[in-house]
Amino acid sequence: MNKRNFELLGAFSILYLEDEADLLKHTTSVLEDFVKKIYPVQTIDEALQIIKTEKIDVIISDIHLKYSNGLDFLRVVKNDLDIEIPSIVTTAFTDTEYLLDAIKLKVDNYIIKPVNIKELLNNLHDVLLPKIQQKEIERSYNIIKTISAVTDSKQVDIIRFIVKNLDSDNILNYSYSEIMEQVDVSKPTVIKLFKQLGDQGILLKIQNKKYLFNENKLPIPERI
Amino acid sequence: MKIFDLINQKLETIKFSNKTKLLIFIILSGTMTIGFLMFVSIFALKYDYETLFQKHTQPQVELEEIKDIYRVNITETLHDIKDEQITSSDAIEVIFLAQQITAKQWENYKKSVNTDIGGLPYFASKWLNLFLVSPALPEKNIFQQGIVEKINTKMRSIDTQTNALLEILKENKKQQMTPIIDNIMLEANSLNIYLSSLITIHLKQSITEKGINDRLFRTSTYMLILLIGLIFFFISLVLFTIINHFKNLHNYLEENVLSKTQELRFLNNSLESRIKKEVENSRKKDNIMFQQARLASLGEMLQNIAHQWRQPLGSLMMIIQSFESKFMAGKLDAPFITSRVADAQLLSQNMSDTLEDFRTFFNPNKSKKTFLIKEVIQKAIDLSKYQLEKEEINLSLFMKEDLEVFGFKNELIHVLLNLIGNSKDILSTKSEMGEKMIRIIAKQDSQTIFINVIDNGGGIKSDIIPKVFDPYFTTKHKSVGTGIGLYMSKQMVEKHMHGRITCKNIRHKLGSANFYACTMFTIEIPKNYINTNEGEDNEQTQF
Repeated sequence: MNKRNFELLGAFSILYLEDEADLLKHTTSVLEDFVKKIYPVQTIDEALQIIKTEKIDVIISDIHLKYSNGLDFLRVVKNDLDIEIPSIVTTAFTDTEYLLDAIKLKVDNYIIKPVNIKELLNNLHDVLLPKIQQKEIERSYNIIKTISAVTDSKQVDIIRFIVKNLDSDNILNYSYSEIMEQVDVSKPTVIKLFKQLGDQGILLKIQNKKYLFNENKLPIPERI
Repeated sequence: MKIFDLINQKLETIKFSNKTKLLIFIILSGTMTIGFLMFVSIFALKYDYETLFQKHTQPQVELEEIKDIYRVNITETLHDIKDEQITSSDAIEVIFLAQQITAKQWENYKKSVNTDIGGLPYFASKWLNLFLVSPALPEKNIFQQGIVEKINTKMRSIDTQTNALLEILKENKKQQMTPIIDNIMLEANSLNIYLSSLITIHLKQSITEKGINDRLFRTSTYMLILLIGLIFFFISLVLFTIINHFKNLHNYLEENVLSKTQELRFLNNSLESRIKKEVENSRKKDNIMFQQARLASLGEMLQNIAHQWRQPLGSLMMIIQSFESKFMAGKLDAPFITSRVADAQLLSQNMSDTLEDFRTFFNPNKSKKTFLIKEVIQKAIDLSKYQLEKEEINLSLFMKEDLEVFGFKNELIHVLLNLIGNSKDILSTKSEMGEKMIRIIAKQDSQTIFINVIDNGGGIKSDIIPKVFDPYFTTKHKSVGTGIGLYMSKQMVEKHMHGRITCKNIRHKLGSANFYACTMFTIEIPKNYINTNEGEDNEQTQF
């Protein structure tokens, strides 16, 4: 449980479609500790109602429902309603027929019953990770923008240039004059920044016009 | 007897049809021979009779007349002339007449003696004479001819003397007359004597002829008797062999029949034992078959158990995991534990019940009792629920009032499972079909309970409807169908419930707008059949 950070799940709402009341009840009671909100439903009609009215981040659906099929529900959601929601299906069968249908519907994951709760949480995490990362990036970007607003914006521009122009080995192949041309800053500012970074071991000069950017030396920011 | 045996042996070798032909030939030829011989004899006798009459009787008459004429007419007239009691003209006339008559008679005599009898009788006589054993009679013709010659000459001399006398008479020379008359009378007397002797000769010949005649008759009689005897003998001989033939045939047939009967009896005995063996074999086969069927349905049931367990098992696992997750979240408190334990107990109780259901189904208690139809149908539906859901088949039960039945509960479940299973099998092949439906309708009249199982799988082909209850009859692939499900169902319904199970194609709406081609199986169970358990237990153990 420690590999992935399940606390991240707490920001998401889940639609859970399962026709069997007992399983629905118990799984819901477990999941509700981890997620922001869980909508347990037993039929496709209820599920459609929820999806239209609530903001849902991920769908968990049983394939084999009484007189209907969870994949049919997903088809309606993805094709007819044109809503892009990550989905996980659960089923007692390992039938390839279902599997093929599921792949076609771009189902994100597939869990064989009986459900292992850790596996389910892992899957949820994996499925939601892009969303989480997207949020993270947005947040970081906002931080940088905020920092640049309150500090020397020239220095921020140079740092942005450096990070942007690193090659695959984290090497920067530019001379001061070249940087000055590209970023439009004065030479003393560049020299001052390079010295600062060099002192902290973040940007080491290997030879002329060759600097190594060492990520590990970056100070770890506090989580927001 | 040796010859007889020889002939018999020869005859034995002849074919039966030839024997009858021989018999007919003998009879015909014998009859013809006898007839021929009889005709010949009759004609021969006729010839003899004719000869006797013409050559001996008639001549005698002629001779007697000649003799009379000579004695009466000529001699008497001569006496009258001598005594002169008659006129000379009358005398001449009388004598002349007498001369003419005698001449004529004599001619007749000679003619009749010398003429032979011709025609058929002659040939018959000649032919028959060939067979006569006795020597022919000696001819006395020479003596006879001698006398005839003498009579001839005497008559001629009398004629000449009479003529001379007549001449004298015309001239009336009485003195010359007397010696001539005396002479003529003398001659006439001697002629008479000759005639008499000739008559005697003829008489004697008649007697000898009679003798010959007798012998002829005897001979032909003997010959006929001999012939008849001979024919009789041959006929008897052939008949005897024919009868023998029949006897042999009869014996042969009797022997044949006897041996065939023995063979048949033997065959019959062996057949009886073979039938016994075969019956035992088929019994064994049936038992094996029932075992197979049981195993097959056991397999199906096992799938059902697996499914019915899977769901509560999933829930149970979830409950167990929820303890961990709640503990880690720090939310594991007394009310949560209490509620989860209660849930888990309920779930495991359900699982245990399911298991018990199947266990009792496969270990049936072997006694009949009263049970409710609805319960039974519901159980059958529950047991096949998983299969029906898998094939997305909609099963509905229609029942106005609950009905009671007396019998083996598990058997009725088994039968219903079979019917539902069959419907499911056919419906599962119709994947393109809209709604797959099975409908069970239970109803009753005053005497019978009816349970109809209807599916809209399109019906059964009419040519196989009569065969669906036959053992080992299946339309499914060999690996799927054993062909004994319906056979077993029929056995159970008929033998243990004393009811009937039938099947037909119908068209039914099944509650929807369209008509479907449906198959309907009907189980009829008589209500008032109160049966004891005696004698049924053995049959029951087979299933």
